[in-house]
Amino acid sequence: MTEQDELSRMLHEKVQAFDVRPSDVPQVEARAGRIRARRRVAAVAAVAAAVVAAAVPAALALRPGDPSGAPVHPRPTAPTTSASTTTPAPSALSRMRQGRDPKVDWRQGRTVHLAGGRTLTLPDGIWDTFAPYRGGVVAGSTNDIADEVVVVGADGSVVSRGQGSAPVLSPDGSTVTWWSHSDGGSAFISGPTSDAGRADTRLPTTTQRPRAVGYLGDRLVYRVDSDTGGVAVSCGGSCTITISGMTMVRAVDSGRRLLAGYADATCPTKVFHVPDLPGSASRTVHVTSSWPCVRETPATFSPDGSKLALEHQDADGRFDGVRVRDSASGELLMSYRTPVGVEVGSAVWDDDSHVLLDVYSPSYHQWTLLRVGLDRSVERAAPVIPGDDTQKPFSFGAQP
Amino acid sequence: MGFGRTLHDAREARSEVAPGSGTEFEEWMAQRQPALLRTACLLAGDPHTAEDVVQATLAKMYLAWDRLADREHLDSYARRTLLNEYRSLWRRPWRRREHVTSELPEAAAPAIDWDGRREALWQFVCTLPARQRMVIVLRYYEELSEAETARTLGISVGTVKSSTSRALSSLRARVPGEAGLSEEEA
Repeated sequence: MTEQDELSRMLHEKVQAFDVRPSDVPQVEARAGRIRARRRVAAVAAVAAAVVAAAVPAALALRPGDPSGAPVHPRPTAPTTSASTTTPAPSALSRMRQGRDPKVDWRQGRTVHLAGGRTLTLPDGIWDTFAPYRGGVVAGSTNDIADEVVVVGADGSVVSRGQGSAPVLSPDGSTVTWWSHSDGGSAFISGPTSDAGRADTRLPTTTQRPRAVGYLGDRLVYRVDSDTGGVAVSCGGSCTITISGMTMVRAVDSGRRLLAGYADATCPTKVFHVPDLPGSASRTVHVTSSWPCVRETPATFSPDGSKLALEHQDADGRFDGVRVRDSASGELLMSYRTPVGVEVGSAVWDDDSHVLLDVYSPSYHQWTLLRVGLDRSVERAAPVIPGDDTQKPFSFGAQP
Repeated sequence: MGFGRTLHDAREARSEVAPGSGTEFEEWMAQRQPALLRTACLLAGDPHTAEDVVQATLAKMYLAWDRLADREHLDSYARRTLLNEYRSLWRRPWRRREHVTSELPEAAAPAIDWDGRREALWQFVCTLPARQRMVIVLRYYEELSEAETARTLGISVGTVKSSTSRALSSLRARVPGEAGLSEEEA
């Protein structure tokens, strides 16, 4: 039996194991209605953009230069058409000013950029995030499809590669933890981020697909199951504290003891305060929230924990911007929408007043990083990379 | 239905869409949706994402229905639309498989009753980059030729060949020991 035969047989057998619910016609009609409404909005915006594209250069030509170099707010754009030819206008992304590189660790292509200007090369794979580990890096997926983690040594060699998921950092940045499944079983592995001599530790887990999300003090916060959620906190050995009152955790702030995640399907996103969790006895702790119901998807807390970045979706589910809310109250502090058609991949904080976004323009097939300030200033934090939409060139390192 | 979408919204949205070729579309949808769902499951890796991708595909087919004069190529058009929807997932690391449930899992999900070799192959396919994964599913599940795969994905036959070659090379490196298994052993 050839490899091709095996693949074919496996796919035909595997597909029988999925339990799917087909859509009915009313559901499809409703979805079609939302798509049509979104297209109307985009069409109106494109007309407005054509006007802006003509008017802004004229206005700029008439005014003196801006010595401050202040970034220009992005405007939607569209191709310009003449009677005989169509000349694509420069995309909104390529027209943006490019500022400094990200302060946080980041990846472009297979190259990860670490603190101090050091770089390392990752092997081919789906590496949504990574973190320093013993002078090298550990990289993994946050997407649950790949379930793969790779350890790269300080010399760039692949030390190990296998089933696992994305790493997280302890609050002081000294320890990196990730989930790994190997012949030795399923466990969270923790080790030093620096080239220190201390040995790794293993925290065995009985769940099939857990995912580390962050730390509360020295205790690991994780999803019990990557898909369906469930929130738990480690408390040493086999001790587990189950968190009730929320179904899924997306972000953790250790200093303020906050968890951002989902409450239930009707009021999804909230930030919850977790009380002190002393002792080493397994138990259930209920958490509550004073947040209003919001519909955005939580991304990450700011370094000082006072703010939460959230990703905004349009009516068709496309991520088209970022919002920043007060961690304690949920009050909206800033809202930024990308240029028309540009989609947001992920968001992290560059510092306490700037959010980094990795973005993609399906119209122009361009990727880049944007730095958005709380004052709504916008600039690029990386070059514009042309490419296939399946070859995501950017990702960010794990945040403490 | 996504966050924030109420039944009222859905009714309003529905009222804006004139079904036009309703009966014909419904017949096509009933006939074709199961196959689209199967392909989507293999691409997305989970049924929830597959359902969402297929619903978006059907909605776009619905909107384009009256413009699709060439009824013989409806399935090809639908497959390309499905693949475009799947590709858009790859821009979102978090969203590919995540969904909200109001119920907490009480215990770990039972292991799939799956031969270790088959599971290793599946895990391997799940780790493939998007383009290689699409090529593998189209070539070895949909059983399209290299030329048909190239047309469907909008890439060259050479790219199909190189993507297939890279995927099979990775397979040998990462799921070793399987080549040459007999039918009985497999």
